[in-house]
Amino acid sequence: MPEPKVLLIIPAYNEAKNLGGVIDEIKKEVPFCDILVVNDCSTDATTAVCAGRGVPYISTIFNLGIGGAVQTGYKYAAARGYDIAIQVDGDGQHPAGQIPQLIAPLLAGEADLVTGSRYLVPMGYKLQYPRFIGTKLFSLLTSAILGEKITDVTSGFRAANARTVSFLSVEYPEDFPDVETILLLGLSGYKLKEIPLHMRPRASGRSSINFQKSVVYCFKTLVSVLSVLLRKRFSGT
Amino acid sequence: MILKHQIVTIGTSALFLLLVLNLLRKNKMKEIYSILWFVVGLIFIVISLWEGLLTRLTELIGAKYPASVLFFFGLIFVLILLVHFSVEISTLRKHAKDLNQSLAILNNELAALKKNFGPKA
Repeated sequence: MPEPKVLLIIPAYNEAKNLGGVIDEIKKEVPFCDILVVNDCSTDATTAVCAGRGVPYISTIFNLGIGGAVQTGYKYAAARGYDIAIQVDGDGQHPAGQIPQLIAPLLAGEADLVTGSRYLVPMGYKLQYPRFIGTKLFSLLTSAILGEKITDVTSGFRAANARTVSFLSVEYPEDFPDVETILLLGLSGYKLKEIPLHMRPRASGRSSINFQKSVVYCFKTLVSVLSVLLRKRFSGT
Repeated sequence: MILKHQIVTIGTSALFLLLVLNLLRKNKMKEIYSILWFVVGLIFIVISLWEGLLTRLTELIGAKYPASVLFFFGLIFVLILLVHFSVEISTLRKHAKDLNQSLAILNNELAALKKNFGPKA
């Protein structure tokens, strides 16, 4: 089998401080992967960090938010005919060393989307309490709807095969996309798989989801779960 | 005989119609919206001129006050219109997002092409 073409999509909004380290680690750990940084109208030195390391980047015209930025990466991957596209956060929380484990089930044809889960095996990884509960609740809800066990529905560390990439390049939710994409793919008959993930705390700066946003997050995610259910269950598409 | 309050309502409706016509003339609105607002203006005038219409309608649906009938239908109309605009805005947002992404990807490809084949700066 020829070497698969793998693209790492790094959505970045003002991540200049962490991005360099992320890119360096990827280049060291998985040199066979191509990198694409989606710069979502950063006002800091994000593009300079990419240019300095010779990493291709795409700059959005106006700020799209995480969903739109990641989807730009999937569109790029679909247009360039990549076999696998992997989403990696630009904040350095996702260990690049685990990428081979993430893509193995895709290469073996066992799954269409592989997620790195923080809870599949107890790793002692602790989220702040409200977030932990939110993640647990939505994971349970998603598991119940899909009828299969999903332990970490909010993980942003995901690998998709070409079939999934072309699906996501067309249909990708905008604001809080993580739960909705898993549901969308699951209900559309895509095979999901989780592998245990060792996640690190953020290297620098604040996460995009802070305390105030959690409430909005829960509400919006509930609405999106409902909308996916209505779309997929009752429209026949 | 035209009553005092009719002068006010007819005057307001006429001003509203003029506003719509002016916007139509300046090509500021999609035709479909111009027609919609034009019809709304005409309905205003009809209701102002024909006093019996609103009273008849009030009796017909068993309401107490003609004014509440007017407000009821007005509110329903505005609600439907707002929902319609939400749909319209969502469509526009999606189109803007798709254009944004396409342009971003094309910019990236253009830069790569220029680097390989373009005139040397």
